[in-house]
Amino acid sequence: MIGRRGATLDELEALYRSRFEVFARVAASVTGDPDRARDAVQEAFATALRKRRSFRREGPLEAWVWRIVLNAARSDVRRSSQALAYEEPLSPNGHPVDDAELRVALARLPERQRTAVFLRYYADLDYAAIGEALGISTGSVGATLNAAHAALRSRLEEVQA
Amino acid sequence: MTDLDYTSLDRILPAATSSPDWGDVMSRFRVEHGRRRRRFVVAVTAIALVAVVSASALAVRAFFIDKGFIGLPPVGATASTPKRGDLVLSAYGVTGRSRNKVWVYRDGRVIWQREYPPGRRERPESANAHSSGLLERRLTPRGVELLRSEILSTGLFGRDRELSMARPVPFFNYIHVRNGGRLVRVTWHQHPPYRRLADSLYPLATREQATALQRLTARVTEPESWLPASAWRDQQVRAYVPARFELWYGAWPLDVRLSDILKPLPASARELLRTKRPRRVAGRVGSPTNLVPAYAYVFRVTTEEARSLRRALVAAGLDVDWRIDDVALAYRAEVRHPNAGAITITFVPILPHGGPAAPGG
Repeated sequence: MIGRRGATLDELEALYRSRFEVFARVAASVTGDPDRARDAVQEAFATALRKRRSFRREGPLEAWVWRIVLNAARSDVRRSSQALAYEEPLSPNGHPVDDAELRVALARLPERQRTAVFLRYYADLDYAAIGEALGISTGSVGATLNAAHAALRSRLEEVQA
Repeated sequence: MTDLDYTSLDRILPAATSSPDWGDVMSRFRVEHGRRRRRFVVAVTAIALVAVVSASALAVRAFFIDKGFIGLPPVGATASTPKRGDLVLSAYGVTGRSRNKVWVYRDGRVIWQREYPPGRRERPESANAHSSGLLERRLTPRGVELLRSEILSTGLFGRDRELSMARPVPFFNYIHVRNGGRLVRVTWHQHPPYRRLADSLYPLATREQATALQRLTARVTEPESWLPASAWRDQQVRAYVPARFELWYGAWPLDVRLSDILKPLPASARELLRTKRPRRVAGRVGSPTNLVPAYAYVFRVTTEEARSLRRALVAAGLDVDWRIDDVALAYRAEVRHPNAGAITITFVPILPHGGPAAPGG
């Protein structure tokens, strides 16, 4: 509907049901702990319900919700002055899986760069939506992703040298 | 080459631990909605109370509060006494799913704060469903000694230690206790999952040490669960009302210059803060493998100065930081900085030993 403002409860519920796992897993990259990430997602959607009338429809609803989810996850980290590290999944033979280097390199990125990587390549958001989610301009998204690529490349080359 | 595709990232990200639960979202929404409505009613009641207190100011000499609060104390509340105290022990840790902080003083005062996980029923003395606020009650000198001996009897507090735990624990936990004229500090962390980096961090706690520290955390942060009634001089719970506050201008996690932070503030707030000399606190935040520098500029102010600053921030239209407004009074200010769109200004109570009411304070 042209000129309509605000998100509806149905829209938020549909987004939640279709993208819960993506929200929860990317939030875990911020909190470092899947349980706390799930809490952050639940709280964030409760907040989105409360603030749904302030959604201006200037961009996709998902980008607006991502911003709330990431804020909730960061808030959790801030409240406790802590972030738990990622769990290390083990392969059936008990050894870390092959992505250990990439995992460590990602973990060492600044939080904004790491989140931008997950939003782009895992959550499949476009630059405008990532900008909205991270609260930065679309132009800065490209710069942030470039910086992340450069840092990852240099760290992975360091490991392989 | 970096291999950033969906499949690699899918393998790297921690798996979601549960399936979607929209009912839980709705119940959180309703609880929050109801809480905000109650908060409005409480605010109206508080205004009425302030009016009554003001009208009878000459008749009322002391105004104690038996419920925790977040942020600045109600107008007229009597500051806790004595204003200064010698710290005997302090602790920060998780029991159940509550995050607990406690400080115990030589004069018997026990000051504590608990942060509750979502869904817990609000306790009568708590500030809200998420936080108790800062509360206090009093031990006898023997009660303080019982608490201190309980810690020292583990044999772990002969010297400072920093340990890591093989079992999952929050990233940062500690118990500090006075022993032989100094505070001995034992801190423990989660053992990092990256084995390659583990050796460069802290020694791994033995199973006995881990069990002892977990047990101590519960006993020190919940002394009412085991200390005899005779150990208490006054079990009545009251709010801890600080006489001074710290204003933390958080540049987290990036380094933002003080001038950038002061720029968006209203002139009256800037003038007041210009008369103070802030200290710059540097630290690191993040996970054990991804610690990044964090900075804050910290100003010390009296409660009255804090009130006047808050009025200035509100008048300037700054928003309360709703992300942490359940546990702290904080405002968000936009700053012009290439890497930070906003900073947070937090009012942190100062405790009797002079430290802020924050972990490690």
